[in-house]
Amino acid sequence: MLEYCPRVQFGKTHATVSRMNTKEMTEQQALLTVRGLTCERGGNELFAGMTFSVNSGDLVQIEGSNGSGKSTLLRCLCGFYKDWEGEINWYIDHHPLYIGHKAGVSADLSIEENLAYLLALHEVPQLPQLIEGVVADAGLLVHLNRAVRELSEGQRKKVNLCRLGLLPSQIWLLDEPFSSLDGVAVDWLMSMIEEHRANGGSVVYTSHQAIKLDQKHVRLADFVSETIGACTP
Amino acid sequence: MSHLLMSFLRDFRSYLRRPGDLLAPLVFGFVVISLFPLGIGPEPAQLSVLSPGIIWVVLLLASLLSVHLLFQRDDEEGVLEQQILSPASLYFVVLGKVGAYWMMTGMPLVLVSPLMAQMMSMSGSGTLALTLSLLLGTPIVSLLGAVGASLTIGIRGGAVLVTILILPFYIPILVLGTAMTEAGHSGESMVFHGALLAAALSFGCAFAPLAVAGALSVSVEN
Repeated sequence: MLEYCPRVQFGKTHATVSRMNTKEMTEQQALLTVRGLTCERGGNELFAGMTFSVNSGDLVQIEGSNGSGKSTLLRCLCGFYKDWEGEINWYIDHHPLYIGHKAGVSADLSIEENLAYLLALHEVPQLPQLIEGVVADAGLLVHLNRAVRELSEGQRKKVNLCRLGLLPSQIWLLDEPFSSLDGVAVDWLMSMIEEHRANGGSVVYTSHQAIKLDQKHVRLADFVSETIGACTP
Repeated sequence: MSHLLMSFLRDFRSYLRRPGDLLAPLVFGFVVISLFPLGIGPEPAQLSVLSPGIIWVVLLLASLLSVHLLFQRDDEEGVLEQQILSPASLYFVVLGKVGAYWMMTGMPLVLVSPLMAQMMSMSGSGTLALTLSLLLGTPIVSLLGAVGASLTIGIRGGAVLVTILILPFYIPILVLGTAMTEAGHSGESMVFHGALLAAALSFGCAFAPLAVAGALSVSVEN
């Protein structure tokens, strides 16, 4: 039974946050619906009237060129960026997981301390095997007690991605999750995504790499209003 | 409440791994105080009249040195985003963070204040009053600093801006702290000023984290 967590306040001013009842649920397994989303940044309209929905089990790739607003769209969805109009409705009982361009982990703390803090932040009971298992899957078990600052860029990214295996959430919002990962790590991430989808979760991600999976696409170019060309000098 | 303790421990642990930035106020304060007997002259009569005001002003200025660092690292590392996008109450997370920051910046000042008082030729009761007033005053300074720091996250030149923003709010604390120290120094009762400082501290503990939490969720916009 999906139940909306009342403490989630995404885009307070514009979003109508509603609760899903069981009758609706049988008809449609939407976890996130976006209607008529129009977003401005620095006076430029990035996209207008964007409408899409993310259902249980979906893998949605946000496509667009550099600067077209992919990251901003994800930040709109999780409520960080607030300069938008339209409707964003969440039907989830945990907070979405967001992985952006920033490290997401503290460089001064060890991998274990970082992940233990994450678990505590999300009120997940801490089992030592849980963290060790996920870190071992990421291939970082030998570095478990090393400070994150001593790790390479790709290893830090993997530590950040470890949260996907630790925290409960139906929707993952991943901004360029494949950047700076090696082949083994890409396979690891893909297997996590597949497992998440098999469990009814869904993933919204941006990437310039071609991913050979059955998935939906949201092309930002489809939602650019025609006036933009005329407005820009 | 567990979020308070957890955030406190996390921040305190990471501060201990790079104490340099945050211990700068202590060193700065200590060095500046030690210059006054040299500049004004070591006569106890002259020094002890000026000492409450001088020590308080120097320690306030010293605390401004590090206040912009309170949220900077967490913002750069994206930890702040993760804290906002979690079911944890931001209020308690912030309170824990400010607590850890105070343990690293305010507490050392309180601990070395008797030594500073001796350098400035203060009486025994004056020394006690100074330490007590700092014990009540420095947490307020940290809480107010957190409000300023949260408003200037990610702004270039934020260190200067935060100083201009919060310095006016330090004035009542400075007046009360100095008055309490002077009262103790001249052997009068310091209950009145102490009670006012304690009231300000309680008020700050209750409401400053609210303001900080609000400012933080706006600051992560970019």
